[in-house]
Amino acid sequence: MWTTVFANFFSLESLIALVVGVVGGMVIGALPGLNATMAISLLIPITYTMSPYAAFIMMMAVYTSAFYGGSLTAILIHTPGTPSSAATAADGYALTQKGRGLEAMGMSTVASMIGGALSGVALLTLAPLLGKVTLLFSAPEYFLIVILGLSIIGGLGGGSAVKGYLMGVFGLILGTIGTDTITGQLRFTFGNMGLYSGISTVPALIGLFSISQAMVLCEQHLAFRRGEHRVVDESALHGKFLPTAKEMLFHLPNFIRSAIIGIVVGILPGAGGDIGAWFAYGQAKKASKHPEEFGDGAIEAICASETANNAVTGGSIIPLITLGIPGSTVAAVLLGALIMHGLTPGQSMFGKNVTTTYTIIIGFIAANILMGLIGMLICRQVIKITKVSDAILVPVIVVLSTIGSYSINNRISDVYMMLAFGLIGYLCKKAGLPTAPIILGLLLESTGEQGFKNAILMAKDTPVLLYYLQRPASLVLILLIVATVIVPAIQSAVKAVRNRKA
Amino acid sequence: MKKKSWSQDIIIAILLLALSAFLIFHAITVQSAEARQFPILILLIFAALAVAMLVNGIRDSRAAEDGTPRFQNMKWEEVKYPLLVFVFIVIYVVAVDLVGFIIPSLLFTAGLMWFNYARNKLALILVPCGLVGFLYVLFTFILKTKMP
Repeated sequence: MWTTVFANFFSLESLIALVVGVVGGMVIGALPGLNATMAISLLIPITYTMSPYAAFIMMMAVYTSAFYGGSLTAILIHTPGTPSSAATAADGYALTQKGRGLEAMGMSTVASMIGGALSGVALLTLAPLLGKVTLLFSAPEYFLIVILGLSIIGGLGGGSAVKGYLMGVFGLILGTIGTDTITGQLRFTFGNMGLYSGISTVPALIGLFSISQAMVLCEQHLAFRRGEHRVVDESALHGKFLPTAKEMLFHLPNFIRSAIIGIVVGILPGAGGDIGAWFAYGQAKKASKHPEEFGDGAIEAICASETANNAVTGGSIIPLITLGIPGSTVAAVLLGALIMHGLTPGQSMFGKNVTTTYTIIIGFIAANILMGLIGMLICRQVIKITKVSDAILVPVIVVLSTIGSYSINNRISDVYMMLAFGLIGYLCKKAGLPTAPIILGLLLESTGEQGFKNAILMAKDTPVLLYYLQRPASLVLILLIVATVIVPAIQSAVKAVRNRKA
Repeated sequence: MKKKSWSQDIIIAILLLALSAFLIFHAITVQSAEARQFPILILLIFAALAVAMLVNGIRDSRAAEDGTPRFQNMKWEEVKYPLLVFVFIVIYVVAVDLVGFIIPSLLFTAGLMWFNYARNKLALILVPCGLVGFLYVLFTFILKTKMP
C-alpha cells in the first residue's frame, strides 16, 4: 500500500498541486477579504478533472497555507487575513511598530509549519482509529449523523443558534428539490427542467461563498473612490528573520502545548482556528515568565497562536474523513469536494480508498513543511500582494466563479444557479444568517432521507423512537446531539443571567 | 416621540413562514404520500424554527425600545453598490450565455474595475487580458474542458 501511496504522492500532478496550493493559499490568506473557504470553493471545478488525491493535496495545502498567509498581514498591517490570525494581530503589529516585524514573520513561519505538520501526524495516527467507529453504524445512525452535523454547524451561526439551525434545515429543503430517488417523483421543481436533477452543489457553493464575498468587497465602493489603499511598512521588513536554535529550544514547550491544543480544538466540532489560537495564546500567557509582554509585542504569543491555528487544520479533517462531520465552514466545503470526487467519508476512506486517503494525509504533512520552506523564501514578496486593490479582485472573482460553475457540467443553467445562490448568500450575510449550514444541509439531505426511511423499515413493528433508543450507537449519537444543542443554550442562558445581575 | 425600531428578523421570519406554508401546501397537493413524507417533516421543523426567529425578533425589538438595541438592520446605503454590481454580474452572465466567454469577460473585468475607480490604464488592459488568457489556456489545453 505504502509504495502506491508514495508513487501517488511523487507523481508530477501531485507535486504541482502541492506547490500551487501552498503558494496560492499564502497569497489568498494574505489578501484581507479573501479566505480559504472561498478559495477552495473556486478550486473544486478546477480540480474536477484531476485525480482525487492530487485535488485534495491542493485544497488541503490552500487550507493550511491560507492560515499562515493571514498571519503575515496581521503582523505587518494589523489586518488579519483570516479570522484565525486575529490572536496574532496585536502582538505581531506591536513588534512591527518596534521594528521587529521580520522577526515576528519568521516566528509565524516556523510556528505555522510545526503546528500544521504535527496536526498532519495526528491525522495519520488518529483518523484510522476513529474510522473504525463507523463500522458500528447503519441507516438509523447515518440519519443521526446528519442531524449531529447540522446541529454542530448550525451552532456556528455566531449570534443565534436558531438562525444556524434554520439555515441547515433550509439546506435540507433545497436538497429535496429534484427527482426523488425512491419514488421517481419530481419534488419542488415547478416545471423547471433545470431542477429535475436537483440543485448542483458546486455552483451553489461558489455562489454562496465567492459571489457573495465579491459583493461584500464592493461595499468599499466609496473607499475605492477616495483611492484608499492598504499600506505596507517596508521599513519593518529588515533585520533578524528566523529564530536561532537556542530560541527554538526555549519555545519548544510552547510549540508542543499549542500544537496539542490546536489539534484537540480542531477535532472538537464547532471550534475553529480562531478559538484554537486564542486558547493557546491564553495558555502561553499563563506559562510565560513575562505575561505582561502579551499584547504589547511578545514573540511567545505569536509562537502559540500560529502553532495552534495551523494545528486546527489537521485536527478538523479527522471528524470530516472518518464520520463525515465537518466542524467548520472550510470542512463543509471540503465535504462537498469529497463527495464530488466520489469519496464517501467513513470506513471506506480506510478500506477501498485507503491509498487515496493516505496520499492526501502525506500530502498535507508535506504541504505544511513546504509552506514553511517557501514562506522563508518568499514571505517578503507575498506581503506586497496585499497592495492589490479589491477593485481588481472583485471582477477576477466573478469571472473565475462563472467559468468554474459552468465547467462542472458544461451547463449555463449552473451559472444562473450560481447567481441565485450568490444573491441568497449576500442577503444572508446582511441578515446575519450563516451560509455554511445551507451547504451542509444540501450535501447531507440524501443520506439523511435514506437513513430516515430505512430506519422506519428496519424498526418494523417497534416504535421508531424506541428502536433508536435500543441501539447503543444511536443512543450515543442522540446524547451527542442533545449535548450539542443544549449545552450552548445553557451557557448563553447563564451568561444572560450573569449580565442581568451585573 | 422616540421612533420605534423593528428588527429585520421579524420580516425575514414571516417570509420564511410563508415560504414553508406554500411548500407544505404544494407537497400535499402535488406529491404522493411517500415522496412528501421527508419534505413535510423538515418543512414543519423549518416553520417551527422560523417561529422561534420571529419570537426572538419581537423580543429584540422590545429590548430596543428601552434603548438597548441588540440587532443591526441592513442599510440601503451599505447594500446599494453591491446590488448594483450584482445587476452587472447578471448582465455579464446573460452576455456569456449569448455570445460566449471571452469578449464579455474582457469587457466585464475592465468595466467593473473602471466602475470601482481603478484608473491605471496598464492595469485596465493587462488584468482582463491576463485573466482571460490564463483561463483559456487552463481550461482548454490543461484541463481539456469546454468554455461557454
